[in-house]
Amino acid sequence: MESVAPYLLVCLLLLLVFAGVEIAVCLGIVSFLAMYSATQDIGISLSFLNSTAYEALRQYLFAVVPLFILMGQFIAQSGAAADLYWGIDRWLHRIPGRFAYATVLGNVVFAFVTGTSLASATTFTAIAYPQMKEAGYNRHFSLGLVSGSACLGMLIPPSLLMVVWGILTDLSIGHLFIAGVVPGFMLAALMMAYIFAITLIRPDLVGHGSGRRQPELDDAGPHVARGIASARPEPTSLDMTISLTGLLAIMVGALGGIWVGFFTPTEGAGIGALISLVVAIAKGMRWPAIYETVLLAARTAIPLMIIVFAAQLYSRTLAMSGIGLTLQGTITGSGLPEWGIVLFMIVIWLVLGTLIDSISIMLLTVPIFGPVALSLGIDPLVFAIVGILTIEAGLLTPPFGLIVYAVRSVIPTENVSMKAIFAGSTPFCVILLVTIAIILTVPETVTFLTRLI
Amino acid sequence: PAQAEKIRLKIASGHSPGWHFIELAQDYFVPEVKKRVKERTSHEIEFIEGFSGSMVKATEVLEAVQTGIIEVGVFCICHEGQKLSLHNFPYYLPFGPSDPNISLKATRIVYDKRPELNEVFAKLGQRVLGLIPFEPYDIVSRFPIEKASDVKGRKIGAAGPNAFWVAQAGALPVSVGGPDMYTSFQTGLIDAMLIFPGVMDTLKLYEVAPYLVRVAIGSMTVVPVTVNGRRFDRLPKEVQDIFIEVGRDMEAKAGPFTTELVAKILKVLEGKGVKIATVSDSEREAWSKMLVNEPAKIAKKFEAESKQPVTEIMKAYIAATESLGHKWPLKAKLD
Amino acid sequence: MRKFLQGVDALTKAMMIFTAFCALGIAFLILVEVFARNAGLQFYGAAEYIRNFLIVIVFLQLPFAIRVRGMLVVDIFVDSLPKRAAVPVSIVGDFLGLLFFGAVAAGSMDPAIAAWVEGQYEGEGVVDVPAWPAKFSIVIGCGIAAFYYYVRIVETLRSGQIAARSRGTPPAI
Ligand code: NA
Ligand code: NA
Repeated sequence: MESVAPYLLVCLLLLLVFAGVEIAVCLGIVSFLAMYSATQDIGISLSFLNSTAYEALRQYLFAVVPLFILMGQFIAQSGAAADLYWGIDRWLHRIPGRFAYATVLGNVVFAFVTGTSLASATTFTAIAYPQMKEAGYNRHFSLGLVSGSACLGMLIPPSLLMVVWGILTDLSIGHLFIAGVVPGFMLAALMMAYIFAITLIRPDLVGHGSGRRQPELDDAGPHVARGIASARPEPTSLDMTISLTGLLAIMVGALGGIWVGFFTPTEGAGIGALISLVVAIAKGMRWPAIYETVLLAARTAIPLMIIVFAAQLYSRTLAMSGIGLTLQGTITGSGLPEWGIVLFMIVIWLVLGTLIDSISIMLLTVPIFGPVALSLGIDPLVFAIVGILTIEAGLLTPPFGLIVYAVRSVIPTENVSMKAIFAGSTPFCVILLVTIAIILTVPETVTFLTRLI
Repeated sequence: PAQAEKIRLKIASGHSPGWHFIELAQDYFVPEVKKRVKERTSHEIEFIEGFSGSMVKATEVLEAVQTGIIEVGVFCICHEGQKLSLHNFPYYLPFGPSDPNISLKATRIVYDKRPELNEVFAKLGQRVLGLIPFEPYDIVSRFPIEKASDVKGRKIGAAGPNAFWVAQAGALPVSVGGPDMYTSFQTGLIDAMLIFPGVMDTLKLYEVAPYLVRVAIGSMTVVPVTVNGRRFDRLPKEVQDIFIEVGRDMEAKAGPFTTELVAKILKVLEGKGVKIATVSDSEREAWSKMLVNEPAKIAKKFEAESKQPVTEIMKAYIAATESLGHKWPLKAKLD
Repeated sequence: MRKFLQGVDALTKAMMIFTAFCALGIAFLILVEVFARNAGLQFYGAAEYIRNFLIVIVFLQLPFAIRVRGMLVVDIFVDSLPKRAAVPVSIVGDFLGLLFFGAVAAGSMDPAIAAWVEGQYEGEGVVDVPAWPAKFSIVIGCGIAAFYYYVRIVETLRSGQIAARSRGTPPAI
């Protein structure tokens, strides 16, 4: 592939995406054509597809995706999460936007036990979104909120991105974990400040001022929270006890188990799914509903996994076309000032973030950017957190916001356009960028805790 | 003279540049081939590097070279337990030479003596340009280990063909991948891991597991650098010669390079407060005893599967190591 | 043709249900492994089985996702296209889908047969997990996926309009 080819690839891809071709097909066909035009060999091109299909998803870690989705669906369908939100509703009586706060805080807690944002996004879409919808929250706002606060999953330890970053840059993973804590809380605080502002400026977005329930056009289809969303009686205290004990059991049993080392994150997801099944049965869920839930979870997980496969094809194609070398030459030969180079790298991350998944972005850029940043005298921990935040921001931007897709795929039967979710997540993307700006101006936010140790 | 050609080749691995064998490929093989081709021929070579799995995963390099997805590949034979069961022999024979230099030399003797080894690669559409040894396998641990019985009932991270070394000693093998190693130690999911001193350093495992137990279970020469056969045959003759020559030179460097690296890493780890202990000869013998029947079982299985002389190759390796001065704590029963 | 399509639909639905419960099966396998390990028992290969199972699950589910139009798309621009433009664009998209998944299926055929004939397995010596189920899943899943894109093209050409994406009730198959 000659040096213009990478840019052509990107353009063709964008064209197909905006023409409404299914994302997986766009990524896949462009990779296939690029491979063919580079090798002029149909055999090699087909082998490339086959090899990636067989190997890309064959990772133990990826089992987390369907299992956490299953867990989230059981929690949601059984009504346990709904009970929790009823509880919050009662306890935080008359605090405007309480479900929004609860979503952020819930994500903070969940982030301490999960290593991927996708898990947070899918779980909280299933748990929190139906509640907010029921409470009359604006759909764009609440889906954006679920997407945005899912980013906490990667910033608060444990974090898969940090582990990979540490390996690529030879940084202490323990230090990286600690470095993420303060920015993580900072991000959560900023999100809550934003919610507070919303409750003052646009109370209608959080279900106030225009009647309790917004009229919806799309309620005809059976939707995810079928078991909970329709007018239902207030849960009895027995209901509440089962639900809260169940949720606690999942936190302690599955997620706590990961934390204290009984099992790996994948195993934790499996145990969590089983505990949530038990909770669902205790909540009165029976065979037909269990059957439906299992099918729904699968239908949610698969399009996501197929996109991961296609994204792998595309990032491999980029690597094989040598775009990395082109970029390194561009940076070192640019003669930009330090802040200019940092800004440049941030822009590249954001652009790549619109196209491919975060791990692939890191594989492609960190080996190039890391040494550049080091030579500029930037603290590697600060650079790592900035990088992770930026890549996370990319997951919220169109056309390839993986988190947004995850959110969308959990509510397959709702009539919500991608555009609407992207619009809702934009403020959160801005909050991420503000956090990045704060960290770059006050690097101590990152290094402070690690210096204590 | 042949017409000047600009040759673009992809060199890839599932492993990252933190590994010494990738360092050899990236900092020696690639620039050296480029330099010599430029100096001695009218051609020019450009390598597109795809390390860290950015083009292929560790488990698909062999096949990717075979099908031509990439032209040059660097990988561990341990990931090809079935297709390269004939080449995986150092793993079947624990407590072989711990000096990477001797391991490499012995393995080279076997490759030169037994044509089957290169023939299998040829059938898989590629040729070996050079071999690189691993660092010796040691145990990184959260607790001190002095005897073989100390691992009994412990959760030990051991993936791939080395799992039986600890399983036979009564440990509970846990399948743990590279990126998960640190957190697995941190959370106590694993108590110990069969791994190289260099990995303890690059993955900062010493932060969560302060003991390095030198069991001297052996250095394995299982990393080949291979090139796609069809593409190689189409290269100009003088470029082919340079590939073969640089491959050989890289291999000649690899032994001393790895040996020196281990010494350097041990110093670094010591400086970082890692407690380094050596397992006594009598304990190694006791451990060997638990494994003494395994090699024959493994050989039988793979011989039946591959119709290749696995036992003969193992015997050749034992003889080669002994000719280089290695003393096995206990000889495996192979007949 | 209609009979054939009905048959494929039935197979697709059966595969969807089967693999959906496989995900629950993975959870149980994990439970057994965790229990064994924490009880001090040696238990091999759960991770290896799950890794390979994952491929089976994903690719056997794929046809259903395509049939009910559950795959993800960016709808920023297409929703505002006039029908005259939207129909050809949709046909091109479906054709690319046919081409892509057809290519994956075609490229995976020989390796799948080889895996069967040669008795290939995964597992690096600890456990031997046969490779053919995962490899044939890719062929079957992507093959049916390609067929469904063909069906879509035919349907669009015949009716002159694009079938709705799965937002309400998925088509009953
Ligand atoms: Na986390
Ligand atoms: Na994005």
